[in-house]
Amino acid sequence: MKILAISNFFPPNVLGGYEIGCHDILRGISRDADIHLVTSFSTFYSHDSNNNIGVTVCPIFKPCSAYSIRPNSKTNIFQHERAFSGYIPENVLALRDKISKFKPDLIYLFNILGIGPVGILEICVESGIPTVCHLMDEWDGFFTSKNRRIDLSSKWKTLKAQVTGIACSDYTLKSNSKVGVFGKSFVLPSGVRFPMSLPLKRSVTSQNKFLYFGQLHPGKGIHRIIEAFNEALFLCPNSGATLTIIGRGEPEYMKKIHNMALSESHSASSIRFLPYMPKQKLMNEIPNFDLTFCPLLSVEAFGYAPIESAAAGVPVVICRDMPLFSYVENDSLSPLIIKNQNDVGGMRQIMINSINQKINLDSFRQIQFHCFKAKFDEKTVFLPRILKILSDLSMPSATFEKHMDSVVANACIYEQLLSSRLSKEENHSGVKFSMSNSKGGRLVKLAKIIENRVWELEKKLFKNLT
Amino acid sequence: MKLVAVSLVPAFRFGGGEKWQLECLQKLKCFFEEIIYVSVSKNLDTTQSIYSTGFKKYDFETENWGSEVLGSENFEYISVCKIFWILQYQASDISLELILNVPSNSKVFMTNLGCEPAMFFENYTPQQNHCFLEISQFSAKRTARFVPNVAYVWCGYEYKLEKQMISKAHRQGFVMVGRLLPHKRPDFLIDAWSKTSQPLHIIGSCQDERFFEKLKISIGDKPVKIYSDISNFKRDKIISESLGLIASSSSEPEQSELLGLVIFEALQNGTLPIVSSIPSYIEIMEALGLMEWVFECDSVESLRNVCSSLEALSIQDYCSLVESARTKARNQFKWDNIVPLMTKNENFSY
Repeated sequence: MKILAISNFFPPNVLGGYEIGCHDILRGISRDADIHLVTSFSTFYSHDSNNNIGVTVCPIFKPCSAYSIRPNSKTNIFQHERAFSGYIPENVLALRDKISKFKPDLIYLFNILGIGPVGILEICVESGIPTVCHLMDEWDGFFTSKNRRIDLSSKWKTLKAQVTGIACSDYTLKSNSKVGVFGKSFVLPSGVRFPMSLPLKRSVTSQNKFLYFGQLHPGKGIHRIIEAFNEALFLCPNSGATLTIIGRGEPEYMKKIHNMALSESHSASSIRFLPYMPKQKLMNEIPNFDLTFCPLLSVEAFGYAPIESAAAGVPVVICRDMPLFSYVENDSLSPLIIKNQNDVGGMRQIMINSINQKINLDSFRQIQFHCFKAKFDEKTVFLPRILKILSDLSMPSATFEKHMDSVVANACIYEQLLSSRLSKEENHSGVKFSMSNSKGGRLVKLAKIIENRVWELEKKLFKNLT
Repeated sequence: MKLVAVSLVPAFRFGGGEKWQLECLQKLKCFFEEIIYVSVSKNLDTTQSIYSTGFKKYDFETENWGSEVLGSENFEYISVCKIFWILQYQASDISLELILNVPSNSKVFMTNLGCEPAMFFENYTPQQNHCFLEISQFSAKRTARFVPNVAYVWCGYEYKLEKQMISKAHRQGFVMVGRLLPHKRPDFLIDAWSKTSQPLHIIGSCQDERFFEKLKISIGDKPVKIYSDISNFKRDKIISESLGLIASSSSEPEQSELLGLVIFEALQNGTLPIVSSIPSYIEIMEALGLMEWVFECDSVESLRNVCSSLEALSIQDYCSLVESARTKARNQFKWDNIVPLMTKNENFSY
């Protein structure tokens, strides 16, 4: 099976869980599929490269941030509005070109909001190739936002009806049904790699090393954890309890939580910040702690961190209103459940109970490990399901030929467009293809000729833009 | 099959462009299950790009063709339509927004009817499903400088409106018909007219009061009369009783004539057209075999020579010239020409 995956970012370019999720899913299915991932231009990927997980990463997109209006930029207000409203013509044409060359059996979309989602989805639908959108965020919010000046929501609605959506939670599916609904939809909680058996606990006596890891964003409730920790330490002085926060995020919020940590003299030295860590390093670090706090919002699409903590053998505190809760509802875990992100009192009490050994974290970590593994284990739960869905949806290769003509013809137009744009800026004398070249049996040959030229032109164009 | 047509030509005024689009849509009504026609509101200034003054939202007024459509509902229709036609696409960047909403497997036609601020092509991205369907070869050539997929269709002659010819012996004077806009050059015509010439009837309204006052003053005691508000019947009567209908437009870049429906109006009334040598008029006159009646643009002498030649024509020659031109117009400029282009799934290349 040939899969063309699309994501604005891809590790090591990481914004949040979406990119990591995309990486992990592709890693999981790469044994069973030939995968090309198209992503944005970045310093990490300046040309096609083979990733160590068996995915070929191809940087072909311009992110919409390239259309911000800055002094001396060539972007006019229409181009700016169009890009930020969901349509970037260069990306549309680049994707057409890629489809014509790679001829996938399936197109698999991840985070596309920053690369012109309407244009991207339009080309996928136009190609006639089955398209699957893996939803780990609220896409429809992009179209309900009042900041969009060009209204493409009707088109979005029409396009969605022609593709399949796989949501990581019921909540995510619901939040992505505000502007039209997907033609087919599945709810499939994301997978996390669980070890075969519960990892051994490194410290058998301590219960006072608390942890948060992940994006440092107000929606993750880190300020609430600090608040609860300050109060707990005030009530349990000299307990030796520590709170470690690992990750990176918005500078303003990071400043705010740093100040919060320093504001209380009794706890300032007990709160430690560690920088972002690559996933493997992080997974090795987590077992050094006793209890993880993940008070995520009710609008959080999924929440990898709590599952990763459980997989690493460290029990985790979650909120009752998180979408994740519905999957792991278990009476015996209720001492580690708080009402919601603002339940500072609940978090404080759990911290105190843990410090004072009133709850036995070892039993919780065992229950959570097995409970979470049964729902989210990548190998035994997620991958068999996702592969089944993808292979049921993918098309046989022969069917692709039917769509080849229009796809290649449009790639010709792209080549012409790039040539004409560049020729305005420099004396560019390239081969021009006429529409008639796309007819007859020369399609594949033509695609190869275009391939090299388009790549050269894209590089020049992007260089000029940056 | 459903056609969604959005016109950026304001429906509140009536010139050649407005006439062209409405006649076409009337003709196409027989070939589509439904035509949704959305006309731009009076509030939108179509003479300049909306982005020159910042982004404005827009609204539409509807005609009674097809469903009643308003506001965001227009986009619902556009996002599922199979054939989308945008008339006067260069009038505003709204057209770029609209075509973004059309599915890529639907056909998009764009037709220019005269107004040409150049912003459109700055932001336009060619697509295989797009076709620039222009109203003349001249217009198509201009568009083909910017984009592929350009075609043109000759339309404009309605044989059903042909009237019985009045003998040349009963004709007198000349007539000019059309909105009194500077590029139509009524001022040139009045200046060129001498006191001893045959009468000149100028039929048309003028929105620019200053220009209108200037025209009236320049008439002086010349045998020239302006009719601002007359019935269609009276207008046709004046045309059919005149020796020739003069179209004296000049080639101003911003307001170029892209066709010249007035030539057909003359023939329908059995009157010979006399036109200035702008490209679109030449295109039609050549097709009708009337090149003898083209005068050099802005040349008084050339105009007078052509008028004298026409006055000197025999009754029989006049009649056979008109009949021959009518036959050619019927064969080449019928409104039906638009139908196969809009309904067949073909690619175009100019």
